[in-house]
Amino acid sequence: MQRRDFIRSSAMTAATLAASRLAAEESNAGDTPREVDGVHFQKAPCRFCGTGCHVQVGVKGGKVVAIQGDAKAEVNKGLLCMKGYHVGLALYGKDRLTKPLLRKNGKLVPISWKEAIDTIAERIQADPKGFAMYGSGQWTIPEGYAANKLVKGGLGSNHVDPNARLCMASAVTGFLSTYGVDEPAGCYDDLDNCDVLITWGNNPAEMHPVLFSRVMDRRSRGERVKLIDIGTRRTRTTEFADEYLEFKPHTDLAVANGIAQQLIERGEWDREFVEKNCAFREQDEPATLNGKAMDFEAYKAAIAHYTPEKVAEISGVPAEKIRMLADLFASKDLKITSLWCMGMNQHTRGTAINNLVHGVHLLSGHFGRPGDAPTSLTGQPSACGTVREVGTLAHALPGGRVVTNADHRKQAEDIWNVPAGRIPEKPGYHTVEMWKRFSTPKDTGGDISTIWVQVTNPGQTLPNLNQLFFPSRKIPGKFLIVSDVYPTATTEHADLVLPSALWVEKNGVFGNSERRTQQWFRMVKPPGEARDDCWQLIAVAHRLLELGNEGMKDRDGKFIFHVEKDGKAVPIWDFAHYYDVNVDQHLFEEYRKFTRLKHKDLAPYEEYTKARGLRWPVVQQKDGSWRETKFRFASFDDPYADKSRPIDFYHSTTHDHRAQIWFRPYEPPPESPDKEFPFWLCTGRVIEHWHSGTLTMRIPQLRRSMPGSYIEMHPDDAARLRIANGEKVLVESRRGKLELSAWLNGRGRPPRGSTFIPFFDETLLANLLTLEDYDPFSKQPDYKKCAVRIRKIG
Amino acid sequence: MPISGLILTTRPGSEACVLDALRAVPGVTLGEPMGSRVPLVAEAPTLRAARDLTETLMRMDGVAFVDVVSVDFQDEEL
Repeated sequence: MQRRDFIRSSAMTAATLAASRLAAEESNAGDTPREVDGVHFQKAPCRFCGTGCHVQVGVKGGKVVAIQGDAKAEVNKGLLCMKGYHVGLALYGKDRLTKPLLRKNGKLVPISWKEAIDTIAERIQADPKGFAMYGSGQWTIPEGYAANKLVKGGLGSNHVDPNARLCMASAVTGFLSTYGVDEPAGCYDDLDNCDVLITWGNNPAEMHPVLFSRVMDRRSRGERVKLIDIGTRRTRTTEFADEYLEFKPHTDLAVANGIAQQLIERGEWDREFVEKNCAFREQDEPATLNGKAMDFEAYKAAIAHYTPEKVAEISGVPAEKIRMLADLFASKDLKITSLWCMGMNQHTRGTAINNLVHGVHLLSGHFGRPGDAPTSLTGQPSACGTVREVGTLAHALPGGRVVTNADHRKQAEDIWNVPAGRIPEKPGYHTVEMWKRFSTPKDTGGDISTIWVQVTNPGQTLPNLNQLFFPSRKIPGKFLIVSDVYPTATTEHADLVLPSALWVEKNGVFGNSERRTQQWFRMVKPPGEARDDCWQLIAVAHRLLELGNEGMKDRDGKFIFHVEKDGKAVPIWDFAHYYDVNVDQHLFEEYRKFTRLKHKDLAPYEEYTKARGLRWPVVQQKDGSWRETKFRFASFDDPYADKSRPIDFYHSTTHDHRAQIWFRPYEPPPESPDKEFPFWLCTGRVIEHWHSGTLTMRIPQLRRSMPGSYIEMHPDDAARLRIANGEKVLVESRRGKLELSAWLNGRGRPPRGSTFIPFFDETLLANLLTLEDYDPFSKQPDYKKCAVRIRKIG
Repeated sequence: MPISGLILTTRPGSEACVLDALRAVPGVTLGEPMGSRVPLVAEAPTLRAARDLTETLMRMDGVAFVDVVSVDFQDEEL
């Protein structure tokens, strides 16, 4: 058989097997060949979004040459989206960074790794409190864990924060203030079981396509799944929706309150569920995340204001549609899943709207059965695993611990074996504050002098770049270090650039949106001198040790990243020896000790080498096997739930097994269109590109499909301003301006008075326009609404 | 020349006309349909053309979804 015939036959076999599994509704049968035509296949989670699809990566001759959807993966059941299809090519852009680069006389020039590591360590040693680490939800779990340990356990500073602060911090505060513990109770199985799917400001058809396909696939089997899209702009998801409810930006709080008002007024709330499992809560003064208790009558009185007519007046959603939503939630026979992502999280009332959507599910009892779930999605592959679980936020510690709690600090100091009192009780700077202080001179409060960025691109993705990013580049003494795989809008302005290994060029572990922890092994070598981010952290820590930094020693005088093999220390700070042991496994097993402290138990590393991920808590059974948990708090599935009750919120903030139903009033946004700036601006992603485009713009097929940014406008607005499709316009906000082409009736269709700009294009920075105002609890900025004006150029 | 394994999902009632249309698309080899799902292999001279072909399939009347199962690009210059 000719080689091409063989490949063609393999492709048809894979497609037929996947189709037959789908037809039979099987998700976990069959296997993928390990060796096909000299191509060796191994499993890995996809590098892109938070869905957590598994792929089989085909390697031949030291290169990735093929990608297959992993037939054994429950998440994607052998399927991939268009970005996953191209994920192998993300490694092979022609401009990979291959050498450390230091800015000398205004130019980035190649230097040795030794000089690079020395430079970083010396800067930190000179001013450890002025050093901050800025990471991401693309850090692997061991990378984020090492960064957290280096800074919090080693340097005794809490200035670590991730870009996930910009994408899901409000989901975290929403879960914490509702259930007392972070992350969704349900999982993707809810998508297979729901009768109604409500997308709240969410566009999974383009941003999480495999999950959306999973739902649409049910329709193709003849199942009835009602899709309700609640949004501010029509998207590809809207095309599949049974109902599209368009609300005025920021008024989703009124919509959620309107549903609750109707359930209460009609007496159709789930009295038994609420009386057994819930309590009511409202904001205290000064505002804290825990708020203060209110009784049902007070809640009822507060919510009474949100009649369907009043909500229609605030939100623009017709009163009968609010009643329709209430009808659905009042139906006990239906199973309802709510999905959300950036639309609810990038919101100056992000915590509040998260609370309200949880509240509608709790009030109506649509919780805890497969298909009945309020579920947030994440945009990055390990926003949950590395940021939320490893605790790389400035106030957090691994395993759901917080720095403000003395017991939690002691637990971390004991596991890290570092001296008592090492971890400060004051949270470090959250993202906006960190960058604001970096962009402020030291003598006027700018106490952050050095930031080390790994696996993210703040020069493109921070809001209001003219305030938070660019000023630092002109202030003497501010030093920006960036580890990345390609030149970016951030490396362009960096003082020191470190070339990093990407995805299957290193070992890794990610944690996806449904609490699923996923592991992979290194399959190919990185180009040139590119090296693992985790190694970079350990090498700097060891250099600090050599410079006499006592923080790099544990209580026994050993290096904080001490690793042994056969009883002998392995010098993992020397890259030549980094792969003498599996450093990931060593760090993961240490991190595992934290995960048992708040019922987020992980299995041993070895278990993940065999599985396509496991959802925590993962608990060992009497026969020695490890069992994952699909539905937390539901006693039929969660090993930690009290079996005497169907639902057990065992991390209740009120310590009485109750979740909190919050009253959160609608409040206007910090900036709205006015005469001077008459349009709403929303920013976001497009299907071709992932986040700032660092990877996807290197994939020629994706770059050619969507080569540059644009502004979506309503045709009536464009006609009034005499703007034709494709014409250049100047878009201005109070913070910056940008020239873009207008796109009328494009794939997204904003209503009159609204516009949309994607943020993937590093040559057209959408964040010159955006607002840095943030939610008071999550500190997450609002990228979804600010005011702009538009005028035709020329 | 990239070779991709795809599954095309048809909208209810559209199976026959979609299959007819697919038979006329160059570079597409159809597998045995299973209800609303059609496994197929798509071949194109370049990755760009492969993507364009997939986009074409997505836009066809009666097609609900196109999912990717595999892609082999070992002959492609990277």
